[in-house]
Amino acid sequence: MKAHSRRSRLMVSVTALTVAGALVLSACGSDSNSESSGKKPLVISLDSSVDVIDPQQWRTPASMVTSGSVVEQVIEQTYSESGPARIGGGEFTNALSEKHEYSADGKTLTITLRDGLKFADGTPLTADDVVWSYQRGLEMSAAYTKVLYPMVGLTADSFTAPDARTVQVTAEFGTPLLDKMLAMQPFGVYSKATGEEHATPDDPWAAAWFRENSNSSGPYKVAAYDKTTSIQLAPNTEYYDQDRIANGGVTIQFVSDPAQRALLLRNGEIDLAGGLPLDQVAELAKTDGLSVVSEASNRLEYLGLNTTKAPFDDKRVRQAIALAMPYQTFVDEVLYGYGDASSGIVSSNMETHADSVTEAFKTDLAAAKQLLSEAGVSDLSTTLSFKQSSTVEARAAVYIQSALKEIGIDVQIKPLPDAEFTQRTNARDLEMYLNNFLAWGADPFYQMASLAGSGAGTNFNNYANPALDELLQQGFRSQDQADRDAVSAQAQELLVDEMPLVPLWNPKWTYVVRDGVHGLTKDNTEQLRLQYLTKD
Amino acid sequence: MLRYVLRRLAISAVTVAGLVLVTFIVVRILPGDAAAARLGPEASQADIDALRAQLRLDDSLPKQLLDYTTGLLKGDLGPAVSTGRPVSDELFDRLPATIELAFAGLVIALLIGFPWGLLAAARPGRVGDVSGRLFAVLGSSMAPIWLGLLLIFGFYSTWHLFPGPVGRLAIGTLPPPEVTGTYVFDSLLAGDFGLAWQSIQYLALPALTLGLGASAAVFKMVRSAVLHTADSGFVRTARAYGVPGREVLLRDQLRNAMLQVLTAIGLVFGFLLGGNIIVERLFNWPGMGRVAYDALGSNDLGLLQGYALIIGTIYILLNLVVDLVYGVIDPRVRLGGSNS
Repeated sequence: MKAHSRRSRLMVSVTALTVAGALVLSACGSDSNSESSGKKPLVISLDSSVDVIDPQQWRTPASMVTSGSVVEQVIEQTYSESGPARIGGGEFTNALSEKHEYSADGKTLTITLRDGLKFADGTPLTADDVVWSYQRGLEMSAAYTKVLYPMVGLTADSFTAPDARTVQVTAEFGTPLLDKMLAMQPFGVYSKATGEEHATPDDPWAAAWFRENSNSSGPYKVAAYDKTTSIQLAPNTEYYDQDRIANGGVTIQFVSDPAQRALLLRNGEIDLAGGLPLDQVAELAKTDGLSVVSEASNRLEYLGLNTTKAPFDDKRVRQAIALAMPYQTFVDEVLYGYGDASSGIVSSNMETHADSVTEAFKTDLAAAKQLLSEAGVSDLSTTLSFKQSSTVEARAAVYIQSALKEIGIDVQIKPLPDAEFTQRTNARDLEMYLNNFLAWGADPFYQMASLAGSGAGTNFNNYANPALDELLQQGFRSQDQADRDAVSAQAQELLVDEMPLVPLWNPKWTYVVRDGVHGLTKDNTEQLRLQYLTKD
Repeated sequence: MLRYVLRRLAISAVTVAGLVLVTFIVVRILPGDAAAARLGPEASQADIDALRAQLRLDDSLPKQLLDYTTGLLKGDLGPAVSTGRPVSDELFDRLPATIELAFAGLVIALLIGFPWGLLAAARPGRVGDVSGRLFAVLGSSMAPIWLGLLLIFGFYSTWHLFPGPVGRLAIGTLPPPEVTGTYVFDSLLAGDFGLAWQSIQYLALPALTLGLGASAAVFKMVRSAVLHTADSGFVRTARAYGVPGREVLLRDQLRNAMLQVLTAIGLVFGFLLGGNIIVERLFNWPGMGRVAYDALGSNDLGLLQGYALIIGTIYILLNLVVDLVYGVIDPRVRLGGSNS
């Protein structure tokens, strides 16, 4: 009995100690979170984890958001208010640069850096760092950015630093796409000294080190990073403009299951959630204390058709399929309203969009049947493939199957494991498939070239048309807006006539936030710019 | 005994070699090009070819197998194409989290399944037995994802008794200084009882999800093994001599049933280590299972191969340990092994 009561006392003591410890710990935690500046920290969860914090090597959208916060670009987009969000436009302003000027022919950009710029470790940020960063994006084997340089006429010799504050970028031709590119996260500035310190003979650009470390030139530095759980970004005290960091830091919590992400948001553990299934977004929109921020997007969901495989090698068949699509049903039933019906490969939100092509994306079953008849196609049976991880595409596939049955095309729905889908689209052997694409920089010529340009890496339709390629090159190199509009309209009309792929919808850029969270900022890559987020 | 141990070691080595071969072949016949996956769709063919050469994907299969096996002997599982880090780093960094979760699940399974199975065997047909069998059917048939969702809904979302599914610690909490990689143990070693308590709280629901399902298997095995001894001569003799029923149950029946129970525990622990992919994803538990899940999405076949290999090897080692313990606790096993 005595032993028993001693054990009980011991248990009580241990429990009391444990509880006391927990209280002390939680008290410490709240102290560390409080911000004397009044800027509050936020906890957010996006649609992926952060596996790499180097913006020239990122692989997931959350990595892009994070890595873009630890580098700053020489110029940045200007943003305009759109309800609770801020949307990047077509104008660009100085960021690390004090001024940036183009030569008369538009081929040479001279950037003058601000005075006294520093990296997070306190070392000066100079023109040499900018040149090193731009060359790294082109020459580092792991950099996916190298595909962008030829589009704007840049080569390894394009970058020079006449003095510590001046950078000259000389392109083979002038193009408005250069500004858009330089404002993107992958064109942020890295520390050359840090890179050289961690370079090895096999890894001259320190790809391995920058994947998991940074010496920030951006608004944040990495305070803690556990690749399995979360990354904590703290304001970078060396950043050139502290007023532009609107919050006290951001923690990105990796929650892979979207249902759990929604649950955590509902329970107040996170302030913002991205990548939620749209049915859950619609549900959360009705929840007290939560708001949905949803803005038009240039991301394009499309129906790919193998243009070298009969009968899809006949443009009348492709046109007939386009005419059979239930465009508004996709928006209403598949996207729960969080999308815009197709307005073409160059969406109506994108510059140079031609209104004349929008009419092509109206359902007209009679015309579709007529075209199939003219093409001599009957009793056509085909397979529609998509990534099995996409619930949106799975739902859309059913509507497509039903719509094509109306015009006599029998469709077998075939969800594929994501890896197999990627392999087969790369091999260009799928007949008909659902996929999506986003052109960085919201550039119409980049969008069209990527999806329908001859030999483009993301043109999975086997479509090749020299006339289109010529128009696109003309558009890339034109600096006159009227000329760009005219060339773009010509290219869009050609694509509507050829219909190598059928644009289906533009899903909206959508996040769910707790009340009091503001400043969601969408840039040209359609990623969040974290420094503008605030919390009441 | 030495021959028995050597024989068991040899069998385990052959099994590991078979595992290496099978995982190697399966990964090679799965669709997907590691180089193309790593570089993305916009990569040029020249870059893809260069990376394929760097990763030696163009070598013949026997050459790749030889290189892979040579690397394995040096502890090199190759690179993870999705992150660029070594596969061994990616997986071993997460191994402690998986072991901590699996061990906690095993403890729960034993705490529930063992005494209940014993009770059911002691009084077959009574309430404890019938309810236990019902529990076993439910536990075996309920998918972990469903059970996990129920627990999250009840204990977190509705009653707020346990924390949300955000991983091993509360958002923003720094882990304890790493010694073993298991947070509960490391927190205690650091003298941080608050953190240990928090770790236990965050461990509770995923461990319950795993443990409740596994406890059904433990229940069935304990009940069956103990019941099997009930008709043995030594049990009848002991009872005839008037030895109390509880003493017969614990000293005679249970000890003789322990061989089977031990096997079950080894199998259950192996299952908990390798079968928790869904639970780790559901609770954002940063273990090896979640890495494997992410690797599926990113088409990182090397990482998947490493996962299958490590989990398979652990499973084989667990069986080896169980076999060796057999030999120690039951002379018939090692003598049988020697004779054969």
